Amino acid sequence: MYLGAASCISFQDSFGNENPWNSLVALTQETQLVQPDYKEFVASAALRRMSTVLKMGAAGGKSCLAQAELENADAITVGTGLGCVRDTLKFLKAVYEDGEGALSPTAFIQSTHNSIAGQLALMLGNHGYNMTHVQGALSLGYALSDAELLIGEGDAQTVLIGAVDEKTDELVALLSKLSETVDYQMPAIGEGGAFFLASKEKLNSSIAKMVELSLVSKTTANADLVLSNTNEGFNYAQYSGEHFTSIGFGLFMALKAFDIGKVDNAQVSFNNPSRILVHHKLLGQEMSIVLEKI
Amino acid sequence: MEIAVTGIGAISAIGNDVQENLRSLVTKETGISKAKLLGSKLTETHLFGEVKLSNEKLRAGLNWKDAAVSRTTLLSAWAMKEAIEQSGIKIDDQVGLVSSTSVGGMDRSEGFFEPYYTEQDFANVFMLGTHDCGTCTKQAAEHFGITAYATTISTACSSAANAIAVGARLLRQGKLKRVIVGGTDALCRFTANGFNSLMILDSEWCKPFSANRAGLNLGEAAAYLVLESKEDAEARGTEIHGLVTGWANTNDAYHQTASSPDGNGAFMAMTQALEKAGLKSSDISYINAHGTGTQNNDQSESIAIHRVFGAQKPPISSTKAFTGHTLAAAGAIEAVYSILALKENKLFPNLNYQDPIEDNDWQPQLEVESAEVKHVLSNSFGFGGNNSTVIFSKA
Repeated sequence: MYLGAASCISFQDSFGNENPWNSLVALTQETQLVQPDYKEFVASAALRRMSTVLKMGAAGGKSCLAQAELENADAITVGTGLGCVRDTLKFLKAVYEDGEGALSPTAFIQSTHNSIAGQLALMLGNHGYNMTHVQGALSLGYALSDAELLIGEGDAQTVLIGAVDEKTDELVALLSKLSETVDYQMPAIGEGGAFFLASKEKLNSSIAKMVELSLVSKTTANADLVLSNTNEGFNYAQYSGEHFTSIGFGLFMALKAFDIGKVDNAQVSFNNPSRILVHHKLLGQEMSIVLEKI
Repeated sequence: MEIAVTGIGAISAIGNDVQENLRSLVTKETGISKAKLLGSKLTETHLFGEVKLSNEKLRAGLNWKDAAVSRTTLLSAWAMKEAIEQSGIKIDDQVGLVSSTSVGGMDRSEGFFEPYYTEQDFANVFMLGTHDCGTCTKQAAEHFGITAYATTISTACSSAANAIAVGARLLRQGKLKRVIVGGTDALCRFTANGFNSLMILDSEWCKPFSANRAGLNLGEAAAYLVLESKEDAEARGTEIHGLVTGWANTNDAYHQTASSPDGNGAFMAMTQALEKAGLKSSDISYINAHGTGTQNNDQSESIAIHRVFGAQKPPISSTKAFTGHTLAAAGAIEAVYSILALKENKLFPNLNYQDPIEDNDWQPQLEVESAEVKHVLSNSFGFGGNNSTVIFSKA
């Protein structure tokens, strides 16, 4: 399976940036998501109702397709660890504050995990395979696996793959309290949306081949460059913040590393890597992806 | 490769195992009634398809030690256990789990959210440890020792149908030798109030495909199938309950929640599943419809069925008036009923039907009837425009 066109909204200047490796900024308490002008992707009337996760899904998916110079993909698979957090909490709050009274359905409608992929299908007029995997830190891994199966089966030539998770102040407060109860050292929480175009055949936009996908461990395959959320390589989570699909940022940076070839700055240096290992380990789950430059 | 079903397990409002479910289907006994376990204000005004076992009984039956577990997970483990035991498979690194749920451990999380939102009380925050969908599947997988592959599909009410298709694909691509597929959802206040806010809950028994239908009843359930290649199943001499022969997943791309008036997504799902199975529409012996009882679904699904089957429609019924709409589990519980139809050569009735929908030239199957059932088509449609169809065939 080939991967190429990629778009990523993150804490870094990554969206539409040809060389995000040269503008990495350390996270601080004040770091915010660097968001594009969503009006380029979504009508402003619709934007007002949309949570960050839905906006990232719309802009990420659309811009990824545009980079691949495709009108549409045969299938969409999205991985998300917590889905539509903002709307879920909003609706829960309304349920309890109003004592299960008469409620507006908007937040409920937008709370379902599949509303990210569903909304994208709606905006793109995409009638193809539409899937959402929710498996903690393996969510993107299973979305990739699903795409690989579809392509292997001949059910799709192109698959738009997403990795999206949002944070809210309330979520961070809840995760922090939850972490205290289990004595867990909570990392800095991030958020982001990354989209990738996978294809059976090599396209003009293709950059690498996914040669290995492990959903259980860190593969032992050799690699010229290791991107990990641990210190077993370049620690991408220090720049994306940690969340269930932070490996989406890692995979995006890997594809950019192939594209750019050489980087030598204060944070990292590499020279024309031909194999990159992208690794994520969080809360008892571990996955890795091996990419080979084409 | 032909995909064989070698184990089935189910728990729903009409029974704690497959046999109990079958008995209720053939005696036309609904499980939808006043809810006793769901602590929601809506239980005063609405009926629910509640599983009769409490969490304590589920835990005891499963010998589940850890108190940190949601009802969603307990229901799933309960049904998985039945399916695994029936299939006789050993869990090894060639076995995977493709589960599905819409809101995961929400039922347990609500034990935190209520005091938190009413009194800013954080005391039960530990209950959020089982909140996310992935944790539900991870816990169930760990309970049975499944380590190779365990994912959760969350495509609203089409989830379990999609889990079946992913399982079939995993086998055909040689990624796994055996895969347990299905779905689970426990009733919770979040979902009950959500559907109530959409004003699509019938306060009486739901009436699928009836002109005077007034909405759906919510239910809870879990159901799982053990899938393996027919060749492997035959080699180990285990009983094959049916084959999974066709599947399709399409998107209506019409509206975030409503189905299109011409039933496009549903039409494409049924057509593509028939194509995958290499069957003509006239080969289908019985349709287990999505048939929720809402104005929108039943109208749109009727049009789509008419577009696929024309005047020659096989018997059609929705079994949701037995179980309620069990959301992510619906595709799995109805897969079990489809396989029972194949095994028992029986058509299951559509309860509470009164008058035909205007423009429908058919009425649903109203009685339990013996018939030769060779191929069953099962529909599962959901929010987000997700439409899926699975076809089961006699072994």
